[in-house]
Amino acid sequence: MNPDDHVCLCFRVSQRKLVNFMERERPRVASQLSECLGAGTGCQWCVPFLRKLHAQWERGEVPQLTVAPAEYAARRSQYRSSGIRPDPAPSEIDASAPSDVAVETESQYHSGRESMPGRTDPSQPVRVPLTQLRRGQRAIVDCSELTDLPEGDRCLLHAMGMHHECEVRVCRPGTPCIVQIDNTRLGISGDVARKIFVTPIADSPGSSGAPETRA
Amino acid sequence: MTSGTTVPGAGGRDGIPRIAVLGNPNTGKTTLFNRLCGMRARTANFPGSTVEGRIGTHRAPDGRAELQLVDLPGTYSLTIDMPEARVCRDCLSGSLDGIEPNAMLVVVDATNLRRNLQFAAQVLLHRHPAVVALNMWDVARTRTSRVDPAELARRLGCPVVPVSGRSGEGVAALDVALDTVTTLPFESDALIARLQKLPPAEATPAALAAWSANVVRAATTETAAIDEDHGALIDRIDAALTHPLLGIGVFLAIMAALFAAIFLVASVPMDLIDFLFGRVADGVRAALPNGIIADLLADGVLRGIGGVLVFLPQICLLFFLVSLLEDSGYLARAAFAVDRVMRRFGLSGLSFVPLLSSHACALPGIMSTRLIRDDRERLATILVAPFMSCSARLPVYVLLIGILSIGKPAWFAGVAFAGCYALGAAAGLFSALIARRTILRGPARALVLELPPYRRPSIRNAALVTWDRANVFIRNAGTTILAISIVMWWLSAFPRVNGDAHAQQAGSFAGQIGDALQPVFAPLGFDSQLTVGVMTSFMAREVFVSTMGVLAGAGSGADVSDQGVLEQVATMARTDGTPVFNTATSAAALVFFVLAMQCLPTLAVTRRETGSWKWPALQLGWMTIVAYGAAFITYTVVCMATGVH
Repeated sequence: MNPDDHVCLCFRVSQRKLVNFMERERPRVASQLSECLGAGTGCQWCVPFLRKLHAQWERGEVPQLTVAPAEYAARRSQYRSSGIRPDPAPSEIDASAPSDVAVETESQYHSGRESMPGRTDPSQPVRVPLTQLRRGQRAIVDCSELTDLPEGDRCLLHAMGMHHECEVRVCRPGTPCIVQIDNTRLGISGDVARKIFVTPIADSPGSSGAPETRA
Repeated sequence: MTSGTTVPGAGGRDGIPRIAVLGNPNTGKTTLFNRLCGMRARTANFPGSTVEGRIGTHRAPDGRAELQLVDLPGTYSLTIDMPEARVCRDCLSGSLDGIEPNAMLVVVDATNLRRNLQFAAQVLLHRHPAVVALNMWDVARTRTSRVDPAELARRLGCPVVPVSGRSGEGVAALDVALDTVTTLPFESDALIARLQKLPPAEATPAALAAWSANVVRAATTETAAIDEDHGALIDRIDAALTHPLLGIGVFLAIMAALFAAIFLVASVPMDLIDFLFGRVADGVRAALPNGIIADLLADGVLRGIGGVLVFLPQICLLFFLVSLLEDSGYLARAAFAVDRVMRRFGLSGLSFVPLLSSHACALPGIMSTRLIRDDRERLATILVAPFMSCSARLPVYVLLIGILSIGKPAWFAGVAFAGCYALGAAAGLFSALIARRTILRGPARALVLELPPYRRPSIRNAALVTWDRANVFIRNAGTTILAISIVMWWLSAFPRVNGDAHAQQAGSFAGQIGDALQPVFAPLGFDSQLTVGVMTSFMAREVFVSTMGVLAGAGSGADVSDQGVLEQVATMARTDGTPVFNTATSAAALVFFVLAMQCLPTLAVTRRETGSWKWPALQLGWMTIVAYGAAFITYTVVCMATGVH
């Protein structure tokens, strides 16, 4: 991966930005990398890679991922459609990185193999853009984050029933994103849906891998 | 063609209570309104706004009370900055001239109470007696959660009547409730009691939602459980219909089927109308002594009206089928399917609805662009809306395609018809792209739309919409077009020239005007008669057919007067005896009519909506250039291909 390749594809955070962030902010744990433009807070595919970068930096090495960007992106989409992390190439995850318990418990992240987006610890809610849920998944909307949207869109969404902390079910992920609130279905174009942040509900049928999403 | 009349200042007859009907979109408000008023309703533009609504009268079955109902546009909130919300606000506060309501009927969807009650709360804060209609009760009853209307009434402080606009269930009870609130004095105690139950006007969206959730919890006996299997099936259908490829494919297939149906089904009543008007004109001619009066009635009036009314079946069918599509819940999905395509042209799925309605008439289309929240995108949509093939072009298409497809296989007309629509749409989209790249730069705005549930469309609703639109069309045919027809007859019948019909035509005012302007249109292959037709259709393009009908009537003499209008026009001859409509000329005229800006009302509405003469001038200039250029190319190409000239 080159310095300008994106490590966090959800929020387009490049490796260079992450390295600069570590040099400047000197994060004590890997989870603090989320403060660098929200890296790792989207689909969470990149979390193990962020951890590797952080470990390399802590050891005084030049933080560098060896995986090819195309393969990286392909495996991420596989992960996102199946919810299962494809087995990493040996070089990819740093074996020497300490599997430090501190990171595991302190962090809002979960190790890739154990977690799938949506199946999160309810005590540690993870907010993701609406577009990144899977079909059938349920989530709680966080309207405090709608400030990115133009006033008109925001008022319309409120009036259409999308208020703070309402529950949505994703009927069609992606663009357009179709969600159901109560008995209303709303079609939301991707530009808006990307700016709506939600907390997936842990035990929703979609997140536990309902058959339809696996098919 | 205007889409409606303005609400009269004083409203209906004195002493009739007026009830404002309000509700969220997709609550079945219009279905309920139709159930109450039926055919006793008309479309109206509210004063000082371009939003359409309907006004109707309702009489209880026992004839006891007569009410005037004002169907206000559906809106999600009274406080948002959208034209629909503004009209509702103004109406309730009494500042909408002439339709100050005495009472309010709030229509809520019983299957979607939580959101609907938020709107109801905003409405109920206004100081009018109110009734809440718990609509879609027939569906809600089958759900696992049961709503208790009595408890809801207690919580809202006004009567709540479960009804079903579709089945008519509960309408009798609604009659009684409306009668009660409009006849009994509205006591301030009742209003104060109601206001105390409601969240204050300045409540935040979250507080309003919390209040609503609380009321729903109190008034329902079980929590709503969404039918998962059913939901999953609809998810799949939604995903397919909004799919970038499949969705567009389905959309194109549905549109093709729509136009095929219009073309095939409408031909029977069209032939009938054509035949009947021909017969009546003959009868008039036979009954009256030969002379100016008989000529005026038979050639000016009857042929003029007949030439326009003949297209009523197609217009009715178009509105009927589009209304069915809208009612079925498909159109909202189609907007998302085409959103991606529209985006390439700098527009969004929001522009899709105005552009689609412009296929009926550009006026309501341009008016509905107020839904577009981005100014530049809205201007671009207004600019290109008249490119869409409106129903006024239909008569011209039918005439010219009818002429072009003589001796061609049956599918030719269908393809040519679809081609006209495609050409108009393509010219519009490319013009929008050019505008968005030059004078109206900016990103396309995002689309947020409710996707109403799929349901069996209501034939009754569609029939009423059709009736309404047909009325508007006939009113126009009966006034503007008739007037222009008579003027055209006069221009072609005077000054009286001795000699045969051709001499009369050449010597008449119409012939003189045609001769004077003909050089301009000569490169398109238009002769002087066709030039007259094009010039008269500048103000309203549908006049073209009646003008040609009148010119043909005057030009061909009495020996062919038993022919239908279409046939008569098709066989019109030039002064040298060759047909006016040869293949190249017909094709060029068709292309010209697809693209030309020939509608005075549209220019006026564009001026009103944009607040400047700059935009209508640009519209007129650009469309004329495009139409003339494309018609010239068509004429040249067809001439070369057919070896004529």
